[in-house]
Amino acid sequence: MAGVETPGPRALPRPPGTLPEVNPLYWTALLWRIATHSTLEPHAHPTPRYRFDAPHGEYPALYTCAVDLGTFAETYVDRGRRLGPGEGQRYLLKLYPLMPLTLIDFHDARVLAAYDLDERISVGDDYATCQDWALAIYRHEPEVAGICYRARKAGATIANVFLFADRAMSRLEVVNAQRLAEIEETVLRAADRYRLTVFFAFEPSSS
Amino acid sequence: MTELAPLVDALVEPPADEEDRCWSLAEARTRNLERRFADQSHLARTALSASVVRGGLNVSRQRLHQLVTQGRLVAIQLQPGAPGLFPTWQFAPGIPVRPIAGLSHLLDAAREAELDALMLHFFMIEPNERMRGRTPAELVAAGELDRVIDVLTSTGLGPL
Repeated sequence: MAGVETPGPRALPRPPGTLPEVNPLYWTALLWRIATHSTLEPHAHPTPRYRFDAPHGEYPALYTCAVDLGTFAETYVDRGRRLGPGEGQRYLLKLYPLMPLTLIDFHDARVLAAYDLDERISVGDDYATCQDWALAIYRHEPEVAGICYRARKAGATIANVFLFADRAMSRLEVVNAQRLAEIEETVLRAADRYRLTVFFAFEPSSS
Repeated sequence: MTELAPLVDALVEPPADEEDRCWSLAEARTRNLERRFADQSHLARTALSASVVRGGLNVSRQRLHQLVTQGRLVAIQLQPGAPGLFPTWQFAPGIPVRPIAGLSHLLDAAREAELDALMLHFFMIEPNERMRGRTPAELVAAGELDRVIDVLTSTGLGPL
């Protein structure tokens, strides 16, 4: 068998010129994120960094998770699993959609099949292709406010929701913003579930 | 922000599962403290003291402090006022002792990603799925600093 190469996995396909029609998901549940500020702050880097960022700043981006504890995994597992002394001053934002958010659901096998994709769009490392897909959806689906995709660290059944912030911001309400230092029980539940270590001191809640 | 909160809580409060019912805050505090002690013990065993680094780099106490505050070396302070501990991955093998090539770029990236010294250290030594299970420290030692910076600046659920 020497010299015989096994073909590697097929690369994640790039989006076609015209996207097939799929049934959208209408998201009405809570969303969560951990942030420096108590308000929503979308970002638009001139060069993309995160999975569904705009390739050339075409739209502002906002990343959220569907589960409060899952947000800690998505935020901190790849940051060394430690919440350093300053992390207690960040906020856990609880977001409520004021009206349904129209999403493309990469958790739905029918959507993946229609697009000829697989779960690497959610958990793979080819961010450039993921960004091309997000841009294609943004351009071809003006009613779509974002993408529902599988969480990588929080567990396979937990969804993250990426939002095109220019379309989603007006439909989201921050219903609660609590500093991590004031929500000891939530933080320590997340720490237990995802093997995180918390180095900041907790304080009595001000609310 | 406050008007909707009680209504939303009432509508979407999830049912308690078995894990929720058995969970105790007091026990969780103990488990977190155990993890912290384990980290502190690990650091004490594996990181270098300021005096060792001063000797190795042949610099004064003041110069070493400058190198840390200028973001050219990493020092972890486990308590305010405690002497810093210097992770070994930031030093190149061989003599004379010197920081790894590109360390200042790595530290700039850590600041951009909002990782403090402690979090950066554990980011560097924990196996990373996006590096096929290798640690960032291993990749840096293998000359793949750019790959580590790329992962570092795109880690987590978007920018904080």
